[in-house]
Amino acid sequence: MKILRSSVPIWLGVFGGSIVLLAMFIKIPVHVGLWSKWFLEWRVILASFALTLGAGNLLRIHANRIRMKREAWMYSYVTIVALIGYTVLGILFKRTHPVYSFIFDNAYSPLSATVFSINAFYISSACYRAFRARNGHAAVLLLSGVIVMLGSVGIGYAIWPGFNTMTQWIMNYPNSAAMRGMNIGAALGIIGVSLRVIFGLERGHLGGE
Amino acid sequence: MSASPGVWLAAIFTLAIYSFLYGDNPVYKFSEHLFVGLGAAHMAVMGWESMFNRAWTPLYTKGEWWWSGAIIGGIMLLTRWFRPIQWISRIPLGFMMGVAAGLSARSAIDSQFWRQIQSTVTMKLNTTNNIVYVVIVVCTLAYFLFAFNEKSGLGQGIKGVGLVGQYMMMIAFGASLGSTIMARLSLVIGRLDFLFKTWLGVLK
Amino acid sequence: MQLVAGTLGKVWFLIAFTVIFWFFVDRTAKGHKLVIRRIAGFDALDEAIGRCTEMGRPVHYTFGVGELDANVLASFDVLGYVSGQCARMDTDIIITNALGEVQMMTEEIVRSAYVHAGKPDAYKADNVRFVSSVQTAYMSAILGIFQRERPGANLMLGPFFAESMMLAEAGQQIGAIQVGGTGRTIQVPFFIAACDYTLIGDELFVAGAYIGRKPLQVGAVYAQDFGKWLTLLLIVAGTILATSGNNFVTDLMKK
Repeated sequence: MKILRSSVPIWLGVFGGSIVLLAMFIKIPVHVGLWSKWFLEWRVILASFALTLGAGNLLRIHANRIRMKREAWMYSYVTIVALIGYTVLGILFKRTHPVYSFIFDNAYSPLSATVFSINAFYISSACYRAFRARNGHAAVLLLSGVIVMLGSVGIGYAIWPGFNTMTQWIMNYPNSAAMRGMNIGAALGIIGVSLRVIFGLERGHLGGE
Repeated sequence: MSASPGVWLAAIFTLAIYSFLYGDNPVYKFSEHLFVGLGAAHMAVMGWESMFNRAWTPLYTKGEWWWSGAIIGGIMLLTRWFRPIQWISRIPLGFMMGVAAGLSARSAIDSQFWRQIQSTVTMKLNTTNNIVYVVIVVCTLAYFLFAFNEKSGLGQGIKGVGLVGQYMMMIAFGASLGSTIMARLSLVIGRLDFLFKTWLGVLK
Repeated sequence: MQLVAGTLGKVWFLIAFTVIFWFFVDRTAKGHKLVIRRIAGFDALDEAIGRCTEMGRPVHYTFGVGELDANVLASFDVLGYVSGQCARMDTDIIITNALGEVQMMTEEIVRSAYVHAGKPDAYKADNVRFVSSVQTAYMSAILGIFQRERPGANLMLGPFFAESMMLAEAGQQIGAIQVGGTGRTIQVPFFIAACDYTLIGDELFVAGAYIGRKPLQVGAVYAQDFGKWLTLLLIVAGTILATSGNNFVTDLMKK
């Protein structure tokens, strides 16, 4: 039983990870490619099941909030009703049902678009703070940020046509080259961390040491 | 002004979310909780459809037996809800982590590592721009060296080159921020366009 | 067995990486002291938890809404450490998740950290929360959590997408001390703009080795550095040779 609890999950991970990685290099035997394809498709299905568990956790937390009368507990009713009602509607009557579509188009979508657009306010205030030249790094950040901003809008071109050329140069050379350096570094980090799992050395995600 | 109930509902939710910019308030709390519920429900429905259409239907109607692995794994995940047999859910979890690691390593080796180096080594150092490019890549990469003693001569050298790389990264970050601000502002314009044109009809 | 065309170089690289990895794991396990340079973002974790303890406010920890990948795994090392410290200092930690599978793994990690800290009863299951896998719904819920539960520290380590900016700025507005880090380099500028400390790209993947100093993790860092030295060598040699009309390195990498 102990093997099933602790070793089998790790070894299944080793098997799955190795097959997916090897499929990149090995053409024959054909099993490797086929298994890799299955495993990647299984992963999507398993994630769907996991999502159900996530929704269950959400329900439990909101039910507990109501039970314990924690802050803003009455709004938890809204989440619970929306979650159960909309799920039942979608599963029983499909997503093509007019009520499902009406809620999606006139509640879900505008809520989503508006939350995303708030980003504009946040990025503006964050940049204002970051661009205040407190040190050498911030000064460089400010200079490059302002040039690119001016180079991306008509008013920048009206002030000085050179902003356009400078923006192009910054994007094509320092920006692209620094991003490339960072990407190569990050790739090696990803390889290192992934190999630890593929070698079966990582147990942390299953609660082990 | 629009007479459509749907447009009114969308406008009310748009304003409810924007009200958060003033501060947390009951209207925002209601919208947030509704959105979280709808979001979880929508994803659960999509998940159900995905499981049904991509795994169950091919297994049941076409006899594609390999999908049984995904369905059995999924049922094992659901044991999470039953404390005495909760440990069973670790088996598919371990598998998911392994496959995720394999996939991560695969894309990192190919597109993020190998191809990036390939594109760099073909550069000829015969123009100032190319020299600048290669120097920046080298300096940035030097910043990400970790295994060295900072007090040694070599360590000081790596730190110095890495510092240049750090400044180059700041140029890149500033450029990214500058270009993103413009893109994000267009999202607000999109919502304002909806409010003033579609809902209120005051702009043509 | 037959190799896919154009992958021979990658295979050799992986073999060399693996050999170096095991060599340094072995050296560390035998007690050789291996050094890793200072990374301010990790040193700031204790400061952040300490501040929360003093203020009686919780720590907030998020992986972002990206899928389960190496970023999440690296972040698990940090989460294990942070939740252990929170358990020892009697400080609440709220973890918000966007993926069902990460939610389950997070529960295991945090519960285990509380057990190892000798405080299994202090573990609060309701603080390890699945919020939403919809990016914008997740963002709106976090804005609410920040306003109502006012975490004193906001730790954002994982595969972030566009939510990085909003989470970091919202945390800034409630005065939380913030550490952000992601291997998705395109999101790093937003953390730079709004966080007190940022782990840039590869720095996140050094987490386990830097915090835990476990042999296998230190070994991985040394193998990563080997990869960087090799890359530097290829770039310098390759570009010099290419300038003189010799495509040796380019051809070698095509094999």
